[in-house]
This record gives sequence, C-alpha cells and structure tokens, in this order.
Amino acid sequence: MNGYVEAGYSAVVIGVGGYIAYLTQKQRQLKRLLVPIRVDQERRRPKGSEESN
Amino acid sequence: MTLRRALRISAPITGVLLFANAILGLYITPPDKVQGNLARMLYIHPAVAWVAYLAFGVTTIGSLLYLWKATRSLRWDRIAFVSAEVGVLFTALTLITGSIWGRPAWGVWWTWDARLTSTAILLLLYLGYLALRGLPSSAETRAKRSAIVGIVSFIDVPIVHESVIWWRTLHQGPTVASLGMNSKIHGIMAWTLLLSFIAFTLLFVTLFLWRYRLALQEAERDQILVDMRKLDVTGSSTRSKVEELLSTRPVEG
Repeated sequence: MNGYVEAGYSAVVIGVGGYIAYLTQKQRQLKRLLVPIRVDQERRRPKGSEESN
Repeated sequence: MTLRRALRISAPITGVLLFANAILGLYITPPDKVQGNLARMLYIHPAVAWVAYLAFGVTTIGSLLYLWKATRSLRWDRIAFVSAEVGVLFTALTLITGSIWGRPAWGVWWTWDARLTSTAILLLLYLGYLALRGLPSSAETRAKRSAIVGIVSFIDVPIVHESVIWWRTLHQGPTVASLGMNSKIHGIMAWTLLLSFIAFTLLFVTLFLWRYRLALQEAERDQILVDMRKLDVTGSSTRSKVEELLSTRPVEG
C-alpha cells in the first residue's frame, strides 16, 4: 500500500494490544493477591498470645 | 448472565469481526478514486472516534446516575470510571490514526485545526478525570468529584462533533451520516465501514466488561483489606479469615 495505512492499522493493534496486556497483568496481580500460606510458614507468635482461629 | 460468561461470548465475536474488518479494509475494498489506498484508513479512524464518544457518553450517564440520589450507588461510579479509561484509549487512537491519515492527505502531522484541537482537549479532560480519581480520598468523595468532572468534560464531545460545521477546518465535514442520511459512500466500502462500527463497538463492550470485572475485584480486595484491619487479622493465619469474608459478601455481576 503506502506505509501510512499499515502504520494506522498497526497503531490500533498496538494501542488495543497494549491495553489488553495491561488488563492481563492487572488480572494476574489480583489472582495472586490471596496466596495460601502454609501453617509451617507462619510467623512465630509471641509467647502467651492465643490463636485467634 | 455473569460478567465472565458475557466476556466469553463477546471476546471471540469481537476478534472475528475485527479480523474480517481488517481483511475487507486492507485487501477486498477498492482504493478510492481521489485518495487511493489512503482511504482504507476510513475503516478504522471514524469507528475508533465513535467508540470514544460512546465511552464518554456512558461515563456521563454513570456520573449522572451516581449524582442522582435515587440511584446513588458506587456501581455507577465504577461504570463511569471504566468507560472513561477505555474512552481515553480510543481518543488517543483517534488522534494517532488521524495524524497518520493527515500527513499524506494534508501534508502535516498536526495542525491547530478546530476538530483536532477540540479532540486533544477531550483527551486532556478525561486524562484529568482519571488523574483526579488517583487522589487519596474516601470512595464517596472520589465518586462525587469524578461525577461532576465527568459530566462537565462531556460538554466537549458535541463541540468535537460539530467543530467541522461551526468552524472552517482542514478536516472534512460529515460524510457518512450527515442530516438526512444521504451517505456519499456506496457498495462494499459502505458495508465495510458499517462493519467497522459494529466491530469496534463490540471491542468497546468487551474491554468494558473485562475492565469492569477487574474493577469489581479491586473494590473487593480493598474492602477485604479494610475488614482485615478492623478484625486485626494481619499477621495471624489470615487465609481462613479472608475466605470467610469472601464467602459472606456477595460479589456484583
């Protein structure tokens, strides 16, 4: 074609693609937010404190 | 229908329609008599601009419904915000594709033409709207402030649209849907143009649904953090507490 048309279509692909990548990253972060913690990895509690569960 | 299911339906349809639009626009439609291959920009630029208008229209409706006491809910604020974010993306794409079209057609990448300038102002207004939301404040204060800015910013949308009629501009006047619907485009070019509007509108719907779903999850996360602080569960065996909180609060959508 003439280079400008390709550039125009590419701009839309890059723009929308970039936003999709941003949303994907955000989705991953939200999914990873609540990570199961194993009981043996818990912080040691001070003596005398009671288990709240 | 849940948001997830709606997304699963809309995303593949959007992909197929956008692909068909690209094939038709780049390879099937004939070059224009005057502009030659450059006219193929017609199958992206107006549709992208339409989506920007649509997005800001949704933002305005969401803002109005938030400010109206009878319908006041953070759900409307969330809808307004999500739509504005997608609208900013499409306004930026409108300016970029317009600039790429303008260089060979007018000989310049940019000129302080009424249509271009008012569109650039529109982008700045909604970037300001998004920046305003980043200021630390309570959810209600943020929603109220944003709603006012969202409504005031929308005043620029009819100015952008009518700018080619109100002022002498380099940008061409209304071609497709001038009053009376006497379109000056015919045949496969008109159908491809119509397809582009449908495809990009669906793209807006898909991105909106996706972003809205994430915004809901973000609100949920923020609420959990507030609840955790209230219950003072940070540092203890948090997992079961969090799961309990999640199971007791209904999630929208």
